[in-house]
Amino acid sequence: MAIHTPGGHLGDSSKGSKSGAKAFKKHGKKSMYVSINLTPMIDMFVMLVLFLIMQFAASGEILYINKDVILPKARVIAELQRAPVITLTKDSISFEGALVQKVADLQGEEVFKSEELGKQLQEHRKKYEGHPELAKLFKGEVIVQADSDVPFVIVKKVLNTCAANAFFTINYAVLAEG
Amino acid sequence: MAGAAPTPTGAGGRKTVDAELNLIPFIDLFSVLVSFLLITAVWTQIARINVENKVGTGIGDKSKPPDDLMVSILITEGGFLFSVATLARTPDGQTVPDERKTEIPRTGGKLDFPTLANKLRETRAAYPNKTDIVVRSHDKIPYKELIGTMDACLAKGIEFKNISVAGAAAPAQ
Repeated sequence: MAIHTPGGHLGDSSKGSKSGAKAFKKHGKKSMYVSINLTPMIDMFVMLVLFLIMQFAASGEILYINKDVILPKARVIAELQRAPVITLTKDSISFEGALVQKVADLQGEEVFKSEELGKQLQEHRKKYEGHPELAKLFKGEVIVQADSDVPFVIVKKVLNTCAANAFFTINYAVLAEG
Repeated sequence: MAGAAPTPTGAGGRKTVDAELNLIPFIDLFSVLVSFLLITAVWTQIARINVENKVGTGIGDKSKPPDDLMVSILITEGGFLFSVATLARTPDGQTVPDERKTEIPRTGGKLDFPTLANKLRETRAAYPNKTDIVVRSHDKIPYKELIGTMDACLAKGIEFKNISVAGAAAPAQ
């Protein structure tokens, strides 16, 4: 593209041009127009863009942290892939954000697994079973997003439910430490 | 498009070589870029620990022949119970179990992860081809301690990559 004289600007570009000076100045009077130094602004934008690019994740936000869930931290981690999410708080169990069961209902040694969660997992699995193409994509994968203080007995019953419904690949969600 | 044009500020009819950049398109571009990146930014870095799921079976798949060597960690209210079980073979072909257990008590109520890491490192050095481990836990143990134990198993230099999670009944009171 050919280099041409830019049009009238309120900033520096009008300072030197005769037409700009005529447009904004009158004889004997001080100009009301002040040029802004844009260099620091550009510097700030460059830094901001670099910082945000460093924060950028192409996979996006895989799961939203429930306000009642404080995830445990781990050092040796891997990238989280998209899969159905089971959220375990101290009081409740949710599947894909929808409340499934109260933790109190899972207490007791005679309870081996969560029937309600089992139904939800089966329903999710049926979506794949209907189509031969989709069935190939079914990996039996779930993400367990559990609060740090949830006792193992509840986690165990949720994992039993997953195993009973052919969801064998468990991804334990954690926060990256350090 | 950012244009650069010579600014006629020179005196005496001579053309100056100073050029002025039109910064407005730059600002437009940066504004759009900053807005896009702010909207798509992921502030909480959530990751995963990927483990094999073998809950409830205690040791693993019973359809497979038992391993000659099994490394396991039991998390209890008192601390860790680290166990290395081997199957020694007698001359007549019989297998005799040999289990060496090490208790690692809690220090100040917290699990002693450095000592566990040392034990794991020793075991890894003794059996370099062994990469699978069973992590068992009592029912009342909080989830963060299970994750911490699995994290210790995956740490650099230890790398028991195939972790099975299993339950263990608490001892009768």
